[in-house]
Amino acid sequence: MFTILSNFSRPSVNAALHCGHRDSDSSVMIRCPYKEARISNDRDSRVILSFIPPASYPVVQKNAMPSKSRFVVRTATYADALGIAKVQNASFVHNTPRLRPLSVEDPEGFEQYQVCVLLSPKLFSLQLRLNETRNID
Amino acid sequence: MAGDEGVGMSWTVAQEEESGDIASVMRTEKIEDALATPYEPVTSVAYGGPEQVAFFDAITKVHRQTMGSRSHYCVYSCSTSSWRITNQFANSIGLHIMATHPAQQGRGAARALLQYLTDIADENGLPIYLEATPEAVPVYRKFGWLETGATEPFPVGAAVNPAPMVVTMMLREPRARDQ
Repeated sequence: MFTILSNFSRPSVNAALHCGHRDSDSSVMIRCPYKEARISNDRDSRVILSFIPPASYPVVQKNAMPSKSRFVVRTATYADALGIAKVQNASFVHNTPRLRPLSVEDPEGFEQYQVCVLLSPKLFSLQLRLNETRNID
Repeated sequence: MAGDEGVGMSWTVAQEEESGDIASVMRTEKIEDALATPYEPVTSVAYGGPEQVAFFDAITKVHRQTMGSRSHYCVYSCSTSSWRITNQFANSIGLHIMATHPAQQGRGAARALLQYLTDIADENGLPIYLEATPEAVPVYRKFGWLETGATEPFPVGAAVNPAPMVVTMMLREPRARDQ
């Protein structure tokens, strides 16, 4: 679990925690992985977020020897939007504490996180739609 | 629309055969001519301040200078610590342009994506340009990328990332199929 202290207003935080994003032009649902989060306020009325990364994101130890899997590589389609968003958000959760620790001293870090969650699905949607329009293979 | 970021991009996924889960994703763009559109300075970013603006402006210029009018593929690869603000989608960002699900790391998903991309580039005789985080540089070297000599410090702030992070521009020249 990691905690973020932010000067953002509660509405924007609530928006960041929005766990479902529906593209108005389609029926594809992209979910935010942070289903568990606590929101509170400190004495200065700043918003405190406590995120609990989902247990379904196990950390692979560097010295572990995971078994090799077989992968099919293909161009994404619009139907992959959810899967791509999951990978990106899970990777962000996993890597951020190591590379860019979001902490009470880092409200900018939270802003970046917020932007990624809120805006990236729109980008995915548009680009994936372009993929299909062009029938790229 | 060659040269406009965000217009020619496509996503590729590595899907685990057994489970069907997407394990790793990659966003690439084929750029016919990076100079097809006039240079426009980056003047704003979706987050950050002047340092971030300067960073994205700098890497944009380096890309144009390095590739010029040469047709190439581009991987926006500054994985966890870089956001690419596109000209086309001023309010959008690309994050984790090459990302692997933590539960799938070390299993070869990202390697499969890179192999796929380099195979296509070799078949078409095209180079691949990218911007790499320090930890990604050795991975790309294994697949044939070389440092172009250009680097840019990523302005994350000392309080956030005590160790300075430098983004390295890398280029992979196409190889003959029998190499």
